[in-house]
Amino acid sequence: MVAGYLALYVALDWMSYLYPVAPFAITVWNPPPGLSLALLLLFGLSRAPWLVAAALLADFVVRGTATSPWLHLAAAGAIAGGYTLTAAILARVVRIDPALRRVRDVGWLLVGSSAGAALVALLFVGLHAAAGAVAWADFGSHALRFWIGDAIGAGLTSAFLLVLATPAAHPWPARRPHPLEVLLQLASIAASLVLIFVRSHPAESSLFYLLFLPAIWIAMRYGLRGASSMLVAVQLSLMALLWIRMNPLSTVLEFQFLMLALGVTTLLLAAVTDERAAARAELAERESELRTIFETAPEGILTLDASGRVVAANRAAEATFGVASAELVGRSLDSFLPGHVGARPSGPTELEGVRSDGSRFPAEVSVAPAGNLGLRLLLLRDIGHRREIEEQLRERQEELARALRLAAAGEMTSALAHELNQPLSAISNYVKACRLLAAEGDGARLAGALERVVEEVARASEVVRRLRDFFRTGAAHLEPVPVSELIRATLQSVRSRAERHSIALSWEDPHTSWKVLGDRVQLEVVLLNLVNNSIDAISQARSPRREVSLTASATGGWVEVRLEDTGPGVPPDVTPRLFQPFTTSKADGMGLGLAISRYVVEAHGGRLWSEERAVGAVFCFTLPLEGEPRSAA
Amino acid sequence: MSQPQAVVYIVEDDEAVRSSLALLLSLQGLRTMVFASAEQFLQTFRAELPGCLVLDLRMHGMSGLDLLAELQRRGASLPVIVITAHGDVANTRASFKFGAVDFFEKPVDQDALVAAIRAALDRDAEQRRVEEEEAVLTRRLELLSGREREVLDLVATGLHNREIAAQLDISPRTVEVYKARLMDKLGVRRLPDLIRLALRRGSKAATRGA
Repeated sequence: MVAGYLALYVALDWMSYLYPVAPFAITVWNPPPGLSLALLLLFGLSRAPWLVAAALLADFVVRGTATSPWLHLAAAGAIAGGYTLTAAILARVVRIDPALRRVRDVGWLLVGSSAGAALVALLFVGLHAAAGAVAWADFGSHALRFWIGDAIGAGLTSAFLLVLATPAAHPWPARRPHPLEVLLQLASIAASLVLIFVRSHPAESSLFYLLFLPAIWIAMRYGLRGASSMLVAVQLSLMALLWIRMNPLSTVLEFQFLMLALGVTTLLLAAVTDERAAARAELAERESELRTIFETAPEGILTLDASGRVVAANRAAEATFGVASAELVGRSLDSFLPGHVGARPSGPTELEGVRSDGSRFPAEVSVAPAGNLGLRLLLLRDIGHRREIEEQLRERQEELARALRLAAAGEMTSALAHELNQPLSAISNYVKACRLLAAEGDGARLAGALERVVEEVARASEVVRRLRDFFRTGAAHLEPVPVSELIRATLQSVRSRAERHSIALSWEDPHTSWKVLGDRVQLEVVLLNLVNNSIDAISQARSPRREVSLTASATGGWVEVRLEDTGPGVPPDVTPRLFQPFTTSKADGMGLGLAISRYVVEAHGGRLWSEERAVGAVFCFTLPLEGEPRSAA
Repeated sequence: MSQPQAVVYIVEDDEAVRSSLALLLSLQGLRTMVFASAEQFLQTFRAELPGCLVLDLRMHGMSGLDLLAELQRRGASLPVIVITAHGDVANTRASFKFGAVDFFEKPVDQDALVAAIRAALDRDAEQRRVEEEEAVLTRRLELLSGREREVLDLVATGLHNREIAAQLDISPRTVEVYKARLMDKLGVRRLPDLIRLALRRGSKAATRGA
């Protein structure tokens, strides 16, 4: 690459060695700095030493060793240093994109070229003046000539090379140029040049503005790629014509200033064209993405204008309403979502939709504003299916509640059977006794026994009433139940069972007079269920430690009863549906115990839950303390 | 029939059930004692007193099964009639393991209960009579001499006097004398009774030896 760069540099220098301040490299047109800038911007600032070599080599080849070697070296250093500094500022400070994708990249490149050229011009001419090679009197005119040559050379050439090196950033326009169009453009450039030079008038440059027309055309049509190529071609033609016609230096300088104006204008315009094309391509990409989302969304989407007319509808919306999108567009929203007033933004609302065949469906609709033009997006979902499922669930739940109540009543029945049996037994005994007493004629004792019969009948009917109430309404027979007594009584009834399984039942009686408002029998059912579950779990698992312990505590108007056992605990796969009916880990279990227990506790206003523990199971339930204000359960 | 001093113990925590049953049984000529809990009963009960126990399995405090276990531990042979809740198979089965003789589900058919109580009392009396007889027999057997026991053992094997005499190397006449003395000492009047008694002793000895 070094060889290529050096060769090209020398070739460009040789070609552009026109109208020089001989024998120095002060010319009106000097493209090599453009080559150097492109090299540094594309391949990095580390290539800077090549610039010195190139400047020395070009001097030697093109102009020979006319002055002292030190002046050659200093001049080469000034050129290389000046443009390296320019490239460094562009790459590191301004951070331009070497592919010149945006207008600012082109703008900074042109500003940088001009400023760099000015710096190098002052240094170069100053050095030669200081060395006595040129007169200080000519400093101004030489520097100006040097500057215009380098500014044009650096700006136009570097732009051309950078665009050439990054074709991906500068695609041809979507509409391919027609050969005839290209021919016309070339012809108009040629015609302009002819017109400029045919009028053999001192002020030849007066018609230069004609070149702006094809330049603008090309810039807007092809962007930087076309513009930069055209500018190089125009510059070459211009220099060739000027040289052939041997125009005076003043005319050439004037042309170069005009050329600079043409170059800056055309390049910036071309950059705008490129940027707009890129933006349009990106927009098209986005839009195609959005369209894909729009079309494939599972929900119906309608775009509405401010008056509520449909602008667009996606496939899901077509399917929901049963019509083609074309039939939806232009229609008012009211015709298929009656009651949806206008198209004001709103959260999810349930409405009734009307399909094309007139059938109706429940729809969930939400509206969101889209953009600043008053458009609205309407999202729509047919929730008929969801409604159906919800309805089914509700029915199931009601059935379940009914079944639970029956099952609970079943459990209650066996608990109440004992209570009912007591008065019945007593009555039966008394009646038999009465018969015997009547036979003996013992009137006084007979009356006493009959009195007892009446009492027992009352007791029995009370039990029956409670059972009937429960069956009918699930209502409980509420009375203040002392917690300690409730637990003690329950534990006593399972103690022998626990002992047969060698399980220790413990109850930390807090010896308080806490009372809960509840149905004693139902609460006993709950406790029995829990304790029996623990006993079953421990005996089935053959746990080495065999304990079931109960504790009670009271806070905020609630008493909490806590049962812990040393069984295997609740299997993780059962945990989520532990309290659902028909969940059981016992071979002969119905899986109703916990469901009923929770039902009963919740009917009492409390909560029943299980807790995770490393060993065994923990069940807790709360019940409202009687006669105390309560915090939330 | 039951002896006059036999008592029906009723252990039942429900006051109405307890007193009505006591009233009914007393009207049928049975002596009753009532207890509100198993603990109360255990304080009062003495094994040597004849009677039977009517027990409700489901009670607060010490349960009926606990009481049965305790009685068994004490070696009491008191017949027990258990009253259970309907369908409480597990507890009923457990109560038979602890020696219950009969069971009733609530509500109880009193005639059947009274009949069962009478049967239990008879059984208790019979048991006590047999035990008494055994005790007497044991005392008498202890009065026998060594030679008399040998003769008794051989009688039990069904040998004739002559064969016994040959075995013991004594005269048949002497065997006759031993036999008469055995019958006298053991209070047996006829030879078949002696043989039956000898067999009973032999079986007892065999049982002990086993």
